[in-house]
Amino acid sequence: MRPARLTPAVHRLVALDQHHRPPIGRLSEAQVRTLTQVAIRPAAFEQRVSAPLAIRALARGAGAARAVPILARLLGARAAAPPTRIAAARELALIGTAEAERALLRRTRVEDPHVRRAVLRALGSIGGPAALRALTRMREPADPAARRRLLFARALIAHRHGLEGASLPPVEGEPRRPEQIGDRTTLTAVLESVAATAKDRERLRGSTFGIRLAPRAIRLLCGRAERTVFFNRELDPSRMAVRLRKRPWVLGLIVSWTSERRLAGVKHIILTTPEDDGVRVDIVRRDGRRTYTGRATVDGGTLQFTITDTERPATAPTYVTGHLTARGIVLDRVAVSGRRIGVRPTVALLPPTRSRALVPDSVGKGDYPWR
Amino acid sequence: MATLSLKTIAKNRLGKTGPLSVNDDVFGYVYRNGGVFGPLAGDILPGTGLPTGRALGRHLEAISGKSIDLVLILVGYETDSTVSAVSPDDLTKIQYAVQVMRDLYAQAPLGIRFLNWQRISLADAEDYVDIEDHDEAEDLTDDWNGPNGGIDVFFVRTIGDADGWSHTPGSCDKDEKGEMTGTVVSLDDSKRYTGIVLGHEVGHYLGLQHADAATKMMGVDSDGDGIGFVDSNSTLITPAEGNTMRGHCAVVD
Repeated sequence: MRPARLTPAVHRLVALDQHHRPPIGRLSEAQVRTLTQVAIRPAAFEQRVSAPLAIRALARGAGAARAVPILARLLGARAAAPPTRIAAARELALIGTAEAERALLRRTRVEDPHVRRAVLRALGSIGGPAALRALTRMREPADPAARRRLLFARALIAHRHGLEGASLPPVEGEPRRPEQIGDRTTLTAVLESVAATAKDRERLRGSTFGIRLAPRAIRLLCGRAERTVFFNRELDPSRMAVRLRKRPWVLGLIVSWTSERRLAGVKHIILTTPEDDGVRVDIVRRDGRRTYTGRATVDGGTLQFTITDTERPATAPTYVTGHLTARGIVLDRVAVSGRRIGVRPTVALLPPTRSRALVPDSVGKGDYPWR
Repeated sequence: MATLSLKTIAKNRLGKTGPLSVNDDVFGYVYRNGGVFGPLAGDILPGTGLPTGRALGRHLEAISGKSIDLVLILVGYETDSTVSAVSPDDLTKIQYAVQVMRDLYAQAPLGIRFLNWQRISLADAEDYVDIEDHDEAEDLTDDWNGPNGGIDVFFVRTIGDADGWSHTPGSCDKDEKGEMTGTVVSLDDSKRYTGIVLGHEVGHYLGLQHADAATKMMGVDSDGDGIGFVDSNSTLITPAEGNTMRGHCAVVD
């Protein structure tokens, strides 16, 4: 059969070889149908096209009601390449409707481990109590990466909705003594104005993990790196100290910036869990890796905290104490290394003598699973 | 122009003595899959205007001067191609992309000397095979380091929000916290374009900002979102950009 040719307007949305992703307007029904075909069978078209880009266009241009069933079908399509199905899971999370959540819940047991992890991540960012119940019933996977995502997905939902019993299990931070932390770099924290926070908010891309953001953020400068901490709107500083003791919370999001401060995306999520005489604070990467942990105690209207890094490859030794008041954040003691330790080394691909056997002649093109 | 001696340059610049394979030892193209660049359909390399080839004299001249080394890291690579996230075609695509980059960087002029081939297994790579966005690309370069002595380039299957990411300028300390300590490039595109993106991202790492035209390797960021517009014809490097690149700490004399 002769391959189909896309119209220029549709081709622009899904063409390979474009670094800059095109803006997506409202799609016509005919465009939705064509893009669905591109997502299902990209090789059926004359032009070289990307199935994940077709999914992105559908999710953002077809409207949630039209896009969710298509994305749900693609997510469940066992014949589709993993990147296609992973893109469908991510876009369902960004749509974030109840239908999108149900579509993800139906796929928590997909066979492909990469797709399953993408589903767990997506559910963590949008799921509600029903999703938490379903994820709690799931047996913990043997694969450590999948288990980490499952535990984090449960925790995210529980903290977002104030539900007990699904927080991350406590871990001890590294027993850092500030005077022993070498290669130190600077760390400063400044409360941003409402106007500056609004401007930063406009540049934030991707999920906000189901929380509404407070009107003022904190700007962190750590050596050359800049981060912005957006707080949960429900936890404004005047009531934070009291409310944190009541239930688990998603306290806020730490976002990082691309060069020249053009775009921001969430790098860490801050979770708090009430404990006997205070609050446990966990700072967790989007993949569920806990990078920092600590405790906060309430003293009058002031929240005092101590944060250290956790034991993991590529940790950066950190010991920070400070306090949060209605007027901002004060760092009392800062000992932060500007270097990571224990970064995992990649593995040499070739043995010391040259080997061409790594590309065996017998390899066929049809058995490659990622396209 | 002075006469270039292959053996002398191989010894002095690459540390290679004894019998030499030009492809393996001088260019670093160690993979074959229907040729070192795989099947080609009459592609023309930028800079030369000639069909794809390996101009040995030009390469020797380039690596005799200021040069960089690259650590090419295949994310999710397994020798069993039925599970690998990096296919045999991808290996020759990367070699072709490096050749495109070498031709681009000859304008600077800046040589590309060693290619150090590395991998992260599929199990260890976890979700880094398909990167969602800039932040995940940063996590990848935080978690993993190639050996010292070259700029890390992580090749992943797909990237959701662009075809590559890098910091400007990149660090020469791979353990530095807070910034990308390598570049990340998608393998999902065509050979020539992958070479343009490779040159573009490593260009950022060497200190280049976006330029003012899509005909330039550094492209143009006309909507100010931090992602440059580049295509398969974004090939030009200005003399000023060349100076910047050659001044980076990763450059060896």
